Order: sequence, then structure tokens, then C-alpha cells
Amino acid sequence: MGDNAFSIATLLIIVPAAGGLVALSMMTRRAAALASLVTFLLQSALLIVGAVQLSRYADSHASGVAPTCGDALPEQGARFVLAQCTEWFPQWGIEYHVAFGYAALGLIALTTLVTASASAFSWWADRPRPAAMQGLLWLTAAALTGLFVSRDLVLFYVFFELMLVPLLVLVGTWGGELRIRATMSMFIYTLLGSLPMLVGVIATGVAANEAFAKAGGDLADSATFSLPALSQLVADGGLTLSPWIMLSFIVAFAIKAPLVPFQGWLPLAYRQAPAEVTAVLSGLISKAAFFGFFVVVLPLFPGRLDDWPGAVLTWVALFSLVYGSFAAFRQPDMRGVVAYSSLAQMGLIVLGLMAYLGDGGTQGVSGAYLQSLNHGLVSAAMFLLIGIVEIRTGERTFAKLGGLGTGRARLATIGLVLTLVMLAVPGASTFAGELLILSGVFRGDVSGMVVGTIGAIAVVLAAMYALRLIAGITMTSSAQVAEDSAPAQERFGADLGWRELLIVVPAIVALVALSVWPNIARRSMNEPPVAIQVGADPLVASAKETDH
Amino acid sequence: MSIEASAWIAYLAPLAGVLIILFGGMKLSHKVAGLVSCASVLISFGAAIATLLKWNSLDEPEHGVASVAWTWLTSGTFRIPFEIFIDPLSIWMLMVVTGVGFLIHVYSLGYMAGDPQFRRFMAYLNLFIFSMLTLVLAGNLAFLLVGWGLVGMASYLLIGFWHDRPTAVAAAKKAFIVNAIGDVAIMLGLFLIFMEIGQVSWIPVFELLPLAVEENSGRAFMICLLLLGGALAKSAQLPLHTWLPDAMEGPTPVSALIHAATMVTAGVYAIARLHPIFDLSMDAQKLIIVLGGLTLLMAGFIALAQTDIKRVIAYSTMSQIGYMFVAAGIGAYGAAMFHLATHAFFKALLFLGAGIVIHALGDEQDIRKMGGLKKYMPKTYKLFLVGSLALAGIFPFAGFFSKDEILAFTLAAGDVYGTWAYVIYGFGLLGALMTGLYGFRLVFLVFHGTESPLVAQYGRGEILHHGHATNEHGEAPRSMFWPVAVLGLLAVVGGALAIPGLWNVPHDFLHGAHAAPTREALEHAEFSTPAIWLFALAISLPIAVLGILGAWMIWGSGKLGSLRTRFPRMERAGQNAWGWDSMYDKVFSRPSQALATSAVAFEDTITVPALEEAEFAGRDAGANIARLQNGVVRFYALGTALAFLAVVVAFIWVEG
Repeated sequence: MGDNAFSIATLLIIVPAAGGLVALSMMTRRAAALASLVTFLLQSALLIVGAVQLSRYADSHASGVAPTCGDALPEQGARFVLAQCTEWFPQWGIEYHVAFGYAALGLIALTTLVTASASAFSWWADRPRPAAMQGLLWLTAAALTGLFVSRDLVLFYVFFELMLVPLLVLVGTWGGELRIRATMSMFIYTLLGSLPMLVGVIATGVAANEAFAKAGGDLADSATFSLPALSQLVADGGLTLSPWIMLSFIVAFAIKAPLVPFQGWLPLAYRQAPAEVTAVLSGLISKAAFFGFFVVVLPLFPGRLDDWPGAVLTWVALFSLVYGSFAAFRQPDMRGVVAYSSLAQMGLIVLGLMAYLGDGGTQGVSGAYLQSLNHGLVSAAMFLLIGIVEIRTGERTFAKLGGLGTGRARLATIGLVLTLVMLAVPGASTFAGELLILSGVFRGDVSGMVVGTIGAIAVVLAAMYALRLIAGITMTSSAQVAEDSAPAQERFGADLGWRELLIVVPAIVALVALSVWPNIARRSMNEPPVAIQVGADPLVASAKETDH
Repeated sequence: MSIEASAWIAYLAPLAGVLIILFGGMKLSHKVAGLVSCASVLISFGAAIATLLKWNSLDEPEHGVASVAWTWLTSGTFRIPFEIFIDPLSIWMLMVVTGVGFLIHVYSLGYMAGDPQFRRFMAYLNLFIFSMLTLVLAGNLAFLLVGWGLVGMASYLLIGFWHDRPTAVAAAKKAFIVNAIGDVAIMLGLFLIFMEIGQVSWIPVFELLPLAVEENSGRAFMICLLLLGGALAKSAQLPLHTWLPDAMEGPTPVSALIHAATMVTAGVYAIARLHPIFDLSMDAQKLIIVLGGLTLLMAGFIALAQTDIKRVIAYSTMSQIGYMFVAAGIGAYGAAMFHLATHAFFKALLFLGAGIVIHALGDEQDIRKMGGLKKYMPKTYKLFLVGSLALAGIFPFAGFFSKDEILAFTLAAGDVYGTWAYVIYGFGLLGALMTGLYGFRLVFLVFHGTESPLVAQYGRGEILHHGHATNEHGEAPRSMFWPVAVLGLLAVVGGALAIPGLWNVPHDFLHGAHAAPTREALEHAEFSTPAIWLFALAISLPIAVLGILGAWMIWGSGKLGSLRTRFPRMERAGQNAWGWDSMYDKVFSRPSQALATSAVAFEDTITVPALEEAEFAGRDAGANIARLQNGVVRFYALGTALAFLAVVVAFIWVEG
């Protein structure tokens, strides 16, 4: 890093962190909202600068490869650089190593947008202690952003744990009646994942330390926990990590996602958290799990995934998809439907990732990436819309809701568009993601075809629960509903106003843009996980080819 | 203007209509919204004509013109461009969709006038046209699937248009889900094709797939079967037909446009479009023929017993599409597309005529409450009669030429497929008899006979619609009347497109490598001559006449009126639509609901209560909240700190 140059990756962490702290210290709701707005604008500007810088970098380097510290600056005298490496705990080989690549770009943009919408919601809902709430939302975003740019395993772990702190406070303070129970269950589940993962991180370090020493050459003085270096070593065959280490990572990510059978905390947390926090939980926090699979599990354990553990994980993901869809179909309340559909969608995303060693690896992984963006936007917007309905009507269950669309064109239209994207109507970005994932899975051997077919059939299940959800809110699906929902309809009052539109429309605009041209995210989608990019893998070549 | 430009204009104009109405919102008056909506489809129709003329003026007709807008999705070798494909087949569909679509748009101005949701309705209609054009213009399999899904979506929106009507909401959902099953089938077909050749655009698929997949192999059959699954769902053919009758819950113009003239025929279009693929599997062709034959017969029987005017016409549509499937199955694509077009004319005519009747009688659809309408609605009666004659296949109406061409080809197909094909020909003849019977049952029950109390009420101007007597301006507002008249004209002269022995416009037009009028094998069949056509006519025309006469005896003059109640079991079966719904309910619906219910129960009783104790803490929250919550955070902070400590210790140990 040059003397006068700023690391974009670091700035991207600092802006929401500082913005969050400023918001926290504000006295009034208005001032906190202003702080949020400024944070959002600054972060967006920074993302644009980063994207420009990244495209210059990509033009001069092999595209589809995330920048590392060793790379030269995009140009002489650049003010902003993409990566930063600083010694942190040199005696243990721990580095502060962050890099801003295309994969991070998409996810950070998602984080920024969803956090801004969530804080707009909290402002609209006039929550008690608004400054604290908005500040904590941005601190969560800062931790997530840190996670997405981490290139050091310890740093990754730190951010992975850090993001939970503001979240637990958010759920515990502003949540519903059972918020303490929800917070406890989130905490305990997460702890169950985090502690073994910590042991896994340490064990990786121990194993890597020896392996690096043995490898000699350039790698001899490598940072022990550097993800690119570790991936390189694994790809070269210099390091094989124990299956127990892999299990520790997989369990941690499977809890965070969540995947069956670790979904115990999900219904409670998603129902008890305030709507904007649920939006962050399902839209963003689950993406940390995706990213963990993406940068840790895939690159460090390719040999194991090729074997039976990969097959097991594939079936777990598939089961989560089908089970989540069925469970979503009969939920009594709006949140339950979206909560279990999130379980299903995370199953689909992991399914795509698990395809990556097969013939359709590129499609599977890039589909999983695209679907992560889609799901982040859809589920966040859906939870926010549901939150609006809940606050306006005071009702959560289908038994007391219905018919709200009549005479409220904006609510009906927005609800419908989100529903159609949620059920992946052909042409929507979610359809594009699904198409990539399933075409990646549906390859080669019989088991691939079976898994792909079951996954495709789950599409019909998505239609079933999504249509039930929208019908339960905006339509009158029986005479009984007309009667039972009358009070809620009256309490809802007029159609959505500009404030409410402000909350949900940005996510919808992003979804429409992604639907018209999903390839807008092609560079993010096609940036392969670290292992693939460092190894001389044909996937890099193919990603290069298609990158225009 | 190039041919690409005109096709793109035709494609995108309806989308512009949707966007204008969507963003105009309440600022647009009903009049302006209606105008925008109709104008956008008229522009589209004009551009379609321009495309047709351009195509004909191409010196050396090409296989088809592909025009790529942008690359929609790429990953690795997977590549889906957003492209349209212009060739005779897509132009043919473009003309039918925009032409009939425009007439139905105009009709809707009158039919939906006064509905508070008028703007939304017109926007949905435009959205449907755009979706349908996506389907027919798609330049690759992925965008065919996109169009496939989008028309399903538009159909869902329009069937459930009145979303304060429970039956409409349920019917819309059912239609969507059955169609989603079809979408999945096509998606899997796409994956198989992509696995074989790594491409999805038409020309590579049509050229490479026959090289990659062995003819009549299991793989070829599998691919065809999956693609066929989509076609069956969309075109409401056995066994995926149950959604269509329920779809009649939508407003009548919707039934005419989507569930008669255009969307439901997409399956036929798809088979014609994908014929180089279907050519690879003889078994798949046989399956199409058999399913089409069975559907045309079954739907005919059911139509005879139904009592809802729109449902009768819906079953008739199913039956007629059965004929088209038979034609497409044996490879008579020209005949299938010909019947598709004439059917669009006369079936839209029948639906719109029925719409005038329903509108006049204050939304009554039960034919048992009608009768004697001829006296009050002479013009509607005449037009309805024309539609029914065309449907029955009476000379010189349109259906006569198109249906009999299919029957003639079926006769010729015996040469290719063996004697069982003659059984299908028999089905076709029996179906023709049924068509005459159910078609004129409707005519006689609705327009002839004694005047029912409801009709008498109408005559006295006692039925009100938005505060006006429905007979105030004659039979129907002008905007509703003249589209029906134009369709009536088309139903009379449309058949002249192909006169046996003289000319055959569809056959000659649908020429090119990827839009052949007939499969090669059929071309060489011994029977493929005008002579066989005339022979087929000589048989089927008397049968159709017999059907009409039968209907007259049973429901008109009443000479054989006792036959009405002679077959109570068949009647009941017909009214239950042969029990398909309750069968699906038992086999799919209930088990999946049970699965869902048990998943929910499992979640609520096993997975979630893992932390039962915390619930008590939550219950007497009050005073404890602050303490507990602090406790949680502190505990967490402690955990994290301990974790870091563990790292430090571990590394000291490693270093040491």
C-alpha cells in the first residue's frame, strides 16, 4: 500500500462502523436517521469508487481473480487500493489481510442496501431509542462487511463472531414478547457452532504451520492463516486437513444459514425479532454462512467434498430445501412462511455450492452466488413489507388477515411483484439463479439427475407457499376470510404512503434490474472461490472467457 | 426498417402499454388507459404485418433471423442470450396473437367498463400479450421457458382478477401450480439438452441435437417427454388438464384471449417449434397422438354434460386442442397451425358471444336458466351460430377446412404409424359428432326454446349493470359488438386459406428448415394427396351434420328429448368431469398437505421447544428483562473473550 493510498476494503468497514457509532450517540430520531442516511450515501459512493478501481484492475489482470496484497496498484499513484495486509499478531502468523474483489462487491452492496432499508423501517416504525437501534444495525453491517473482505482465517472468525453481538442486543431489546427466549436460543445455537469452529481454526493453524515450513520457497514465510496461501497449499497437495476440522466449519455455517437439523433457533428468532432485524437476519446474516462455505469450506476441503462428506452435505441441503418448503406451506402466520422459505432457499444455495467439483461446478457456484443476492433482497423486502402490515393492522396470522389488496393498488402491486420473484417466476432473477444452480447440479451421474430433479420439483412447492402468502394478505380466499379480516382491513387504512414505499421499493428496483439483466452481476457471480482461482483450474479459464 | 426492428417493435409495444398504465396510475383516466392499452396492441399488430411483409420480400428465405438484444446470463459454458427468432412459424403466431389480441382488447373496453379496477385489467391484458410474444418469439429454449412462465403468471393474474372472489382466487392458484409443473418439466428438458450439446439457441439445438442424441433412444424419448410435459400443462391436455375449466372464473375476455385463442395453444406451437427434437423419438410422437386423441374425445363427452356456458366452451377448447395435438404428433404442423388460427377466430367468437349473453343476463352463466334469447339478441344469435357452425366443421366455415385437413392427415398417418392410427382417426370422427352435439346443444338451450324467466326479465329491461339496464343500448355496446363481428367474418372466410386441391397458404408459408409444414415421413405417406383430403371430407361432413341434427332432435325440437335423461350415469360423470379433480385431490393435494402439516407439527413440537426453560423466563419478563438481557450480552462477550484467550494459549503452545 502506498503512503497516500487508502485501502477500499478497510474504508468499507470503517464507514458503517463509524456511522453506526455516530448514530448511536445521537439524541433524536431525526439526527439518527440523518446519520444513517449519510452512512448509506458514503458507503454507496465508496462502493462505486471500488467498483471502478476493480474494473481497472480486472482489465490488467486475469479476470475473475480477487486481488491480493502482492498485486501492483491499479495504476501509479492511485488513491485507492483494493487490498491491504498488515501484520497483526506476527508471532502467530495472524494478519490483518483484507481485499475487495467482485465477490465482496455484490455482497457488500446487498448489505448496504438492506441495512439502509432496515434503518428506514426502524425510523418509520418510530421505535423506542431510535438512535441505538439504527447504530446497532450499522454496526452489524460493518461486521458483515469485514467478513466479506477478510482474507485471513482468524480475521474471518473475528468478524463472524462480532456481527452477532449487535444482533443479540437488537433482538433482546426491541423484540416481541418472547424476545429473551429468542435471544437465548440464538445465542446457544451459535455458541454450539462457534466454539468447535474456533477449535477448527486453531487446528488449521497448527497443521498449516508445519505444512508451510515443509513447503519452503515463497510459502515458507507465509502468514499461517492467509486464506489465499492456505488454498494454494491445499490445491498443490501440500496440506490435507482433517475431516474433523471440516466438520467444525460446516456445523458453524449450517447453524448460521440455517440448514436442517440446525434450524431450531430460526422460527423463534425470525418471529420475535423486530421486522427490520428479521430482514437483516434472513437477508444478510444467512449470507455470512454462504460466504463461509464459499471462501473456507470449498477451497480448504476439496478432496473431502469430493468424497462422501460432500454427498452427505448435498442431501442435507436438498432435504432443507424440500422440508423448508413443506413447512412454509402450512405456517399460520406471515413470518413463518418467509422464515421457512429462507430455510429452503439456503438449502438451494448450498446445493449449488456442493456442485462445484462436478461438471457443472461453475454454474452451481455462480448460481449460488446470484441466488444469495436474490434471496437477500427478496426475503429482506418481504419481511419489511410484512412488518408494515403487522404494524398497521396489529395482526400476524392469516386467520385475521386478507383482502388488504382491494382498493390498495400499491400494496397489491408490491406484494405481487415480491411474491412472483420469491416463487422464481421464469424471467425473474431468482429464476436465473435457480436455473444456474440446478443446471450445475443436474449433471453427469444418476445421483446428480435425481438431486436436480427433486430440486426442480421444489420449485412447485415454492409456488404453493408463496401464492398462499400473498393470497393470505391481499386477497379474499374465502367468505370466512372476508368476515374475519374486516377489522384488520379497517385498521390498515389507506394505501402505502411514500415512507413505506421508500422502505421496500429500493430492493424491488434492484430485483427488477437483476431480472432484466442478471449478467450485470456476472463478474461477482463468476469470481471463483479462492481455491479455484489459485490453482491452475480450467474453471478460471472458462470464467475468463465468459466475462464480457 | 429491418425485419428485426419491426419484430422488436411488435414485441415491446405491449410492454410499453403496461409500463405507461402502471406508472400513470390513478392519473390516467379509464378512457386514456383503455386507449393506451388498445393502441399498444394495434401498434404491435401493425408491426407484425410489417414483419410478415418483410419476410415475404426476402429474396432468399432464410431459416430464420435471430436477433440478440443482450447476453442475459452466462456462467462457464452456460450462456443464455436474450434474443428473438423470426421465421414463418413465429410470424404466424405473432399475427394470430396480436390480431385476435387487439380485437379482444377492444371488446374489453365495453365489457369491463365501469369496473373500478379497469386500469389494472387493461394493464394485465397488455402484460399477457407481451408474455405470449416472449413465448412465440423466443430465440432459445430458456426464453421459451421464460415466456412459458410469464403467460402462466399473466393467466394467474387475470383468472384471479377479482381477488375478492374466493373461487377466482382458488382457480388462479390451481392454474398457476399445474402450469408450474409444466415449467419444471421444460426446465429439466432444457438441462438434458444442455448436457448433451451445451447450447440452448434454436439453430444450434436443431442442428446439433440430432447429431448428439441417437434417434429413438431412451435419451431422446426422455427429452421429448419432458418438453411434452410442459406442452400438456399449458394446453390443458390429459393428464394435466384440470385447471382449464376452473380458469373460467376469470372475466370472459380473458377466457377468450388466453384460454381459447392464444395461451392454451402454446403447447401446439411448442411441438411445431421443437419438431426437430420430437422427430427424434417415434415413441414421443405416438404419445402425443394418443393423448391428443383421448383428450379430444373425453372433453367432448364432458362438454355435453356441463351446464355452465363458459365451461362448455372450455371443454370444447380442450377438445379442439386435442385435434391440434394429434396433428402435431403425426407431423402435420401446417394443419395444426391452420387449425390453431381458425380455432382462435371461432372460439374467441363463441366466448365473446357468450360474454355478451352473460353480460346481458347480469353475470348468469347457467344455461339451464337461459332459453329463447334469439328473440332479444338476433345479432348475437347469428354470430354465435356462425361460431358454432365453424366449430362443428360445416362447409364453408373455417373449421370445416382446418379440422378436416387434420382428419385427412390422420388417415394418411396410418401409413407411418401402423393400423392403430386409424383408431385415432375414429376418435376424430366421433369427436366431430360430439362437437356438433355439444355445440348446438348450447345454441338450442341458450337461444331457442321457451323463454326462461331470466330472459323475460332481460327483455323487460329489469337486469341492471352499474345502474343501467343491460338492454339499454341494444344487445351490447358498440365496442363489444364490432370485434365479435370481425371474428364472425374471419370464422366464415378463414377457411379459404387452404382449399384442397387449389392452394394451401399455411402449408406454403411454413416453409424453411426449422418450420416445416409436415414431417418428412408424412410427406412421403401414400395417402398425402388432395384426393384423400376430399375423401376425408366426404366422411366427416355428414357426421358433423348428423351431430347438429342430433342436437336439434334432443334439445331443439325435443323429438328425442327423452335422450336427455337416458344416461344419468354418464351425465353425472360428465358433470364431475370424470372425477379427475377428486382423484388428484386424493393422490397429490391431500398427501402434500399432510406432509406440510406434519412438517409444521414437527417444527413446533420437536425442533423449536428445545429451549423450553427460556420460555418461563420470557413469560414473567417484566422486571427480569433488563437483567437477563444484560446477562446474555455479557455472557456472550465473556464467551468471545474466552475464545480469544484459547487462541492465544494455543499459539503459545504451538510456538513453544
